[in-house]
Order: sequence, then C-alpha cells, then structure tokens
Amino acid sequence: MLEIKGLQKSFHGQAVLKDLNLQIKDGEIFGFIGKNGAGKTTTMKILAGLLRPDNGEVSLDGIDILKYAAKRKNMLGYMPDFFGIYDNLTVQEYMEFYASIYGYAGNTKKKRIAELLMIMNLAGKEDQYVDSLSRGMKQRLCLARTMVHKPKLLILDEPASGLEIRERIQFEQIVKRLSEENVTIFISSHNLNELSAICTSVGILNEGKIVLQGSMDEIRNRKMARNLIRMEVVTELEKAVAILKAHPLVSNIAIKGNNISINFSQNNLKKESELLSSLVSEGVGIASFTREESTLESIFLQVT
Amino acid sequence: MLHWNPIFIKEIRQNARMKKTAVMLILYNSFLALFGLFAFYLTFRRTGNTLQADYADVLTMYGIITGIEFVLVLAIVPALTATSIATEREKQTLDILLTTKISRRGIILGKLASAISIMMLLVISSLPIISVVFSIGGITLGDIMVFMFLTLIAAIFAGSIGMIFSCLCKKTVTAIVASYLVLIALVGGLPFLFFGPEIVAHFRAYGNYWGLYYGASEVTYQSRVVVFILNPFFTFLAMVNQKFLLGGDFFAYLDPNKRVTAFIAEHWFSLSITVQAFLSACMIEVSSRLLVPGDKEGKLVKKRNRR
Repeated sequence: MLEIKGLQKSFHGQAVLKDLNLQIKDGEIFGFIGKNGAGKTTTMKILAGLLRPDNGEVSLDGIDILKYAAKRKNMLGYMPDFFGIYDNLTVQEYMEFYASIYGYAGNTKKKRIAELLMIMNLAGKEDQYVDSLSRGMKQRLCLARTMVHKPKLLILDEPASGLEIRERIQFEQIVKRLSEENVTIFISSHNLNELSAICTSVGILNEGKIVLQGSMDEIRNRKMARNLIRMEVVTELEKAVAILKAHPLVSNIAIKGNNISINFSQNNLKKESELLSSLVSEGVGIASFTREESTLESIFLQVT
Repeated sequence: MLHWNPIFIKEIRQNARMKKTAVMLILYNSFLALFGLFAFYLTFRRTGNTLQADYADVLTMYGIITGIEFVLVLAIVPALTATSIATEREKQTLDILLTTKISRRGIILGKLASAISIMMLLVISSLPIISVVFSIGGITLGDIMVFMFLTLIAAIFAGSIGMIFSCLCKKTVTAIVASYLVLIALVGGLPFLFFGPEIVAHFRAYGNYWGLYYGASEVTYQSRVVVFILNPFFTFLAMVNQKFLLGGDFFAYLDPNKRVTAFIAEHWFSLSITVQAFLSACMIEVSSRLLVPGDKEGKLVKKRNRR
C-alpha cells in the first residue's frame, strides 16, 4: 500500500502542496486529477525522489521511500511527461541499457526484455532505432523501460498525452493488464474520460490538497446528490431562465443557444418533475429535459 | 568494473555510430600527420639527400609530434566531458537516470570513461604517425608507453574539469566555455599569475625572454615553481626535457637557484602525475555530489537521499 501523510512543498515561499494525504491499495489504478499547477507533477517528483518535500511522509508497503533511496529505486518505476529517449540506440539496446542498470545480464536480461516487448506490443521492433518509432510506440517503450525491474509502484505522469485514439486505447489496455499483475499504478492525466475508463480509484487535487478521494463508484454516488440537468427550450427562453433563477434548488445555470444546463441540488425525481411542470405551465416550450449521469469531468468541475 | 558500467556501454555504442566520431578521428590524424611530415622535413632538410639525420633532431621531432598530440588531447577531452551531463539534462534523460538504480558516481564514471576511451582511440590511432621516429631510432617502446600513460592521466584530469562544469551548468555551451577557461587558466594562466612580475621585470631589463629559460637573469622562481605540478603541460615538458631532448635537469630552466627541494625536483614527473590523478579523483567525487535533478530543488533531494 502507498501511503502519503501530510505532504507539504513550497517553491519560493509559495505553497504548492498543503498537507496532502492519500492511501492507495495494492494493484489499484489511481487517477490523480488536478488543474494545471495544482501540484500533480510536484507530488509525482517527490514520490520518484526527484524533489524533497518540506514536510510529510511517503511509505510503500511500510517502507519510508523518502528516506531509503535504494529501496525506493527498486520498488518504483517513474515515467515523466516526456519520453527521455536516446538517439542512435535500437529498441533492444535501449532496453538492455536499463536492464543492465538493474543488474540483469545474459539470458535473464534477454528473456526479460523479450517478455516486456511482448506485453507492450513491440515484439519484432527490437532492431528498429528508438528515434524512428511512432509516438505511441515510444510511449510503450518508455513504459517497458519503467517496468524492467518489476516495480511495485508505477508513476505515470500524463502518459497518454499526444497519443492518437488507437494508440491511447492500446496504452490503456496495457496499463490495465499491468494492474492485474498487482502493480499499483499512480497516473495523472488531463483527459478525465481516459482516466475514468481505466482507473479504479481517483483523487482530486485542488490548491495543494486532496478535495475528493475514493473508488470510482464511491465518488459517482457521492456526487449524485448534485444532479446536472440539461434542457432544450424552444420558446420563452427568457421566461425559463427567470423561473430557474428563482427556484431554490437550482444553481449554476449555463445557457448555450437554446440549451440550458443547471445543477439541481436534490436527487429527487418528484421535485424534478415539479420543476418541469412549472416551466410548462408558464408557457415555456421544452423539447427535451434530461438528467445527466455524473461523470468524472462533471465531478471535477464541481469540486475545483 | 567500467566494462560493466551500463552508461559506459551505452555511450560507446552511441559514439561509435556518430559521424562526429569518425570526422574527429580523420581530422585529428590528418592534423598530426601534417605536423609529423613538417617535422620530418625540418629534420632532414639540413642533410639534404644523404638522409643522415642528427640524432638530437630526431628526438626534437618526437618532442614536437607528441607535444602537439598532448595539446590536442587537452583541447578535445573537456569538450567531450563538458557536454556529457549537460546533454542529459537538456534531453531530460538525467531525471529518469536519477530515479533508476545506478549511482551518481556510476553515471559520472561511465561518462568520463567513455570520453577518455574516445581520446585513447585517437591517441592509439595516431601511433603509426608517432612511430615514424622509430624508423630512425632513439625512441623505445617504453618511451611511447610512458607518453601514453601521461596522456591518459592528462585526459582524465582535463576531463574531470569538464565533468564538474557539465554538472554545474544547465546549458552545454556554458559548460564548454567554463571548462576551457579553467583549463586555459591552469595551463597558460598559472605561470603568468605566479611569475608575471618577474617575467615583465626581466623583459624590461633585457628586452627579451631568453634569459628566463637559461637562468641567466636575476629571475628566481624559488619554491613557487611547485605550483606547476598542477599543470599537465609542465608534466609533459618535464618528461620530454628529462628523457629526450636535453637529458639535463628540468629545474635548471625553472629554478636555476635550486630552491625546490631535491625530492620534488627528482620525482617531478611521478609526483605531478600522482597529484593530478588525486585531483581528478576529487573532481569526480565533487561532480557526483553536484549531479542533481534538473530542478532547482534537486540539491535538497540529494541531501535527503544521503541520510
């Protein structure tokens, strides 16, 4: 289990992380969400040992990984938001380089590399130069590199950014497969749909603190209380807006053309139907009135 | 041990595939061959078609060729090492390396060893040019080996200077410029820093510099001459003067009044090599301590990790 307690970090007197607390179980795919500058990369760099926190503790399976660098390096694989590849090396040589760093040699090394390239759908590319690979292949190669020493925790910073849809799906399938092997995956992304597709739990970071954490289902259920309702108004738009503004359970009214989105603060079908009736009785023409399922995106917008 | 250093293996692979390495090999040997031919011409010019050369001239020729080679080594190695870490930083691969199991010292040693190996490749490839003097005689295989050893130590010394700046500077260009400035100051600037006033005084009194070399003036370098022990080029001069050209006392030129202790004077070559090797080891250690992630806060990370 990865446990982060009271993590704090400031840059030039400005607090980036303020008392960050997290608990992630083994084998989970944890989505780390936050706006730009919320402190996601800072947190990941601290976990990887590239930054020192001002305060706080980070333990993996009970081992203080901030204190014991050698243990951390054995237990953790880090993939930053850039490739970090070398020119003039083939895929096989690139993998051999990292495998040698972790003490692999001879047949064991070859076997491990072949195994990883197979998992990453890169088998047959061994003799290809790394810089000639497509973006998706480079990304998968980097993931293979981080997996070479069989880490317990994988830290992936924006791993799917810039990937085309087919490559992204392939990447997500690989990540899911890795988690089935009990590897804990700590992943950050701007693409919340992508995260909701693969993550088993998420944590939303806002202004240096976790504002929401839990399994995907928990978070969805917890946020269902604040429904998002969309309606298409065909006549009397202004009257509709006035009625909605006056309604005590309606908040966050957003108007785009004939479409109105509102937050209805009770998960109560009767109250919703009363709202619809009142609009219709006032002569507002409504073509559609739908309650949207709570998505990670809508939850994120609500809490940040 | 270095054979198993993954950084060394990777660098060797990459360097071997770079056009830059092949171009450097060609230019280095062409430059050296040109000077070799010129020195050969000067040696035999006086004797014309008889092909009878003065024995001392042949030794001078050896001194010139190896001297040029030595200067080339001092000029090339810092450029190779100064770029090594700075390039990793620029390509953002350093942060990844620092999260892996390889130690900071391992990274530095691997990088330094690969730069030295390129340098030694250049030196070994130039052996046919140096061996021209074998055709006349006077130089033994042992002398060549001593020169190679001296070159290796000088390459490590100059390379370590480049390595420190490679770790200190974020940009490759800054690292190269800083390394050359320090090396130039050490090789060229140090003598003037310590003996400038005497040299100027001598020039004013005699109108030339020659007396400086023959101890014919009032200039006495005294024990300050020991500072030259840090200067790789003076180590080379000591070797050439003592063994090949004059067979005399190297200090007769630097310290006519023999103020330097006899022990230092007698063991100048081995002492200077030992001092430079020791300093290189210190610089390698300092470099590994300076090797921090690309972030400004990296230094703090290092302190924490060392607990």
